[in-house]
Amino acid sequence: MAIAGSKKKWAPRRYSRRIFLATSAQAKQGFLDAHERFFAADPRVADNSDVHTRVAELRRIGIERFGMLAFPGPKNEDWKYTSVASLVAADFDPAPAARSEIPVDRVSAIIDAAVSDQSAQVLVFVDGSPIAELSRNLDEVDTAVCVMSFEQAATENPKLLSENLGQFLDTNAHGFTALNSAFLSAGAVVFVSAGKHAARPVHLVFVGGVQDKSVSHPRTLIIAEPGSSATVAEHYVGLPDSSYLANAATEIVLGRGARLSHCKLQREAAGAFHVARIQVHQGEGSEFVSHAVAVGARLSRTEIHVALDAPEASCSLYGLYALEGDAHADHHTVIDHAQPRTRSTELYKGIMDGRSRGVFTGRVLVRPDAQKISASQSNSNLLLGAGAVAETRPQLEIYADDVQCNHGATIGRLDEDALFYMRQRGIGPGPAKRMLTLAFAAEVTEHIADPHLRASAERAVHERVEHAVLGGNDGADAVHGSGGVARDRGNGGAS
Amino acid sequence: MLVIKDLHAEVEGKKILNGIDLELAVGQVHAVMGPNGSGKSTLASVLVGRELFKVTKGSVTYDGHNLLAMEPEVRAREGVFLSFQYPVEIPGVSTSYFLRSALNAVRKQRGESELDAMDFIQMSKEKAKLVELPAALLSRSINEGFSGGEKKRNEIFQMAMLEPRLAILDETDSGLDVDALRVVANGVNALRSPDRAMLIITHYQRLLDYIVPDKTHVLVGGRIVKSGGADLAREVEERGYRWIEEEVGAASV
Repeated sequence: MAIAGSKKKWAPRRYSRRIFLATSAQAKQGFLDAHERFFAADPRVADNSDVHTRVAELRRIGIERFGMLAFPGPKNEDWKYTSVASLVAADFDPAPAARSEIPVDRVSAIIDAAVSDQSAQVLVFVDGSPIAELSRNLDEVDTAVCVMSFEQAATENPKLLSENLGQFLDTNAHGFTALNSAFLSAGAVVFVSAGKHAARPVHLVFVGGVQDKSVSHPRTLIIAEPGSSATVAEHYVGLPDSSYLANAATEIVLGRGARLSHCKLQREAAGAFHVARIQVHQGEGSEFVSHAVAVGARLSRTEIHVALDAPEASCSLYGLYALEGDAHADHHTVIDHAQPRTRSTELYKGIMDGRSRGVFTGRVLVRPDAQKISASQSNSNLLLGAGAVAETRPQLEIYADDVQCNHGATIGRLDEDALFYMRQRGIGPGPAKRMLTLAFAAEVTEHIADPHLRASAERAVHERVEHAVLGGNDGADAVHGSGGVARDRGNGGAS
Repeated sequence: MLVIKDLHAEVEGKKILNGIDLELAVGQVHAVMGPNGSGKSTLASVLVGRELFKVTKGSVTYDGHNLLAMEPEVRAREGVFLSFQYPVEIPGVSTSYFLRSALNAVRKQRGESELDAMDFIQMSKEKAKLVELPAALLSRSINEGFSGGEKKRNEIFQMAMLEPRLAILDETDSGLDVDALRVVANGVNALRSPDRAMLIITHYQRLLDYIVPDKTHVLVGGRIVKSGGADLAREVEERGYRWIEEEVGAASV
């Protein structure tokens, strides 16, 4: 893969490990103390309900794990290209955000921008707490799909939580997921009844930053019973000009033959930090489609782990990150072909302007007995800014022999010949760049089946590209500049 | 309309054009012929402002204005059109969307109103007939998966839509079979007009059987070494470029 640009732009921050460890330890202690203060003596634990017992247990396990794992440091191979130094140094208030005055007009406007479909079911969380007044159409009787907060679920269907919550989420991976469990309180449950088809998408909106410096741990449980189908969207948004941390975890369980389309739209405030882990467990013949769009946050990390744990299960993962300024977005996907005749396809694209950095890791694991599987993966990156960086790491581990696997990764700039062709027809360099960039992005967003969601994702990307291409300070540089750094870190294993 | 004076240009430090003088009046069609490496395509590229090519000396005026000082898109809006030798494939951008943007940019420059979608479709259907271009191609990505002939026809179709004042056709005949050549040539002939000048760049004379130029120039070593009428092209075809090179060589001794 071509490597361009001057080396000095990619000097490892010598700002050292020692400082990181000290800050990280301090931040960790803050969370441990807060946990002690708020959850050590939760009176509700004493009521002995299954749900609260389960929640208390998850919190206990979570904080223990967090105590051991802490925040991932530079020696953690999975976090090699994403430093959380700025996150641990950000001095967040680790306490669960107290309910505060919500600027309803501002927050409503943000929600409306995220979910344009006024008749859709929308469950809204602000700084981690469910807000009934901002949620929409939840009492509508829908026999196919049920959306509720943990609170509601605990009274209406406690078994759902006690049996499924935390069932598949791996809290051993790193401190963030453990921390999500440790601070487990509110969350969303989406339940799709067996054999039913939800006609329209269900929306979960997580608004951050109403309290500056706050931390929230959004938790979502999606259960698609056998033979059901539904679309669920998670929107991550925030108040502009605020700094906060959203540390989300989503557990998705697909029963036999279930079909679920999951759409995560990350449009956090520019100063926000966002960490999310999505863990998917698939039953026989089930079909999971994931869309991950990231255009916001100063630092974001999205992990998607899919276990194809029964024959004939299939998944398609689509991702698009469009970044500018100093933003950093890391997408880390793992697809585990644990059983025969499972299929996966993966298409991720990145658009990096300014000095932003996009990281993609795509691990595909094919276990020894998982014969007759197919897996394909593609990651393409478009560098617009002279100081932009793309990292791409395909990791294929294949232990079965009768398989079809392929992968490809590209990192490049806008096609000069195409740009000139357009200019020769009278189209200015700005609009020409925009057209080419949006065409690049559309190859991902066009796979979003729901028209409202697709429009919403496209809007988010258009706004970012518009800003980057036409509002950017180095627009001309993006065409003629020769900077930018491209790296391919793949092990390149294909068969 | 177009006056080229003592034009010198180089690409990556290599001198390609060594003093071109050419005048093209409105309504006229001139052919520029020459062997490989003589600078034909460089001349086209310089006229449309490709950055790779550096003008080191000389001038080009277009309707009395300094053409070389204009950005490529400004030249296009002012009516300079290039039919590319290798039309670019642009995945994800439909021909009609692209061309409508281009047409509206050109119309804006001419002080005309923007064309709405319906009018655009109407106009493109009509113009597509000129080069027998299937209308279905217009909704596809620009040139993506087009055959060689379709790409060239698409170029002439775009020329018909944009109605340039100066059209430069760079090796439009290359890669075309006889039938496709005839279709393209018919399209070009239909676009000949007293308000339009054309510069036809070609290696072979066969295109000029169909598009008969008012004048023919032979380019050798980055200079126009011989100019004549339409029969000069036939003479080149019969005798090759060698005799001109020899003639020039003899004259310069």
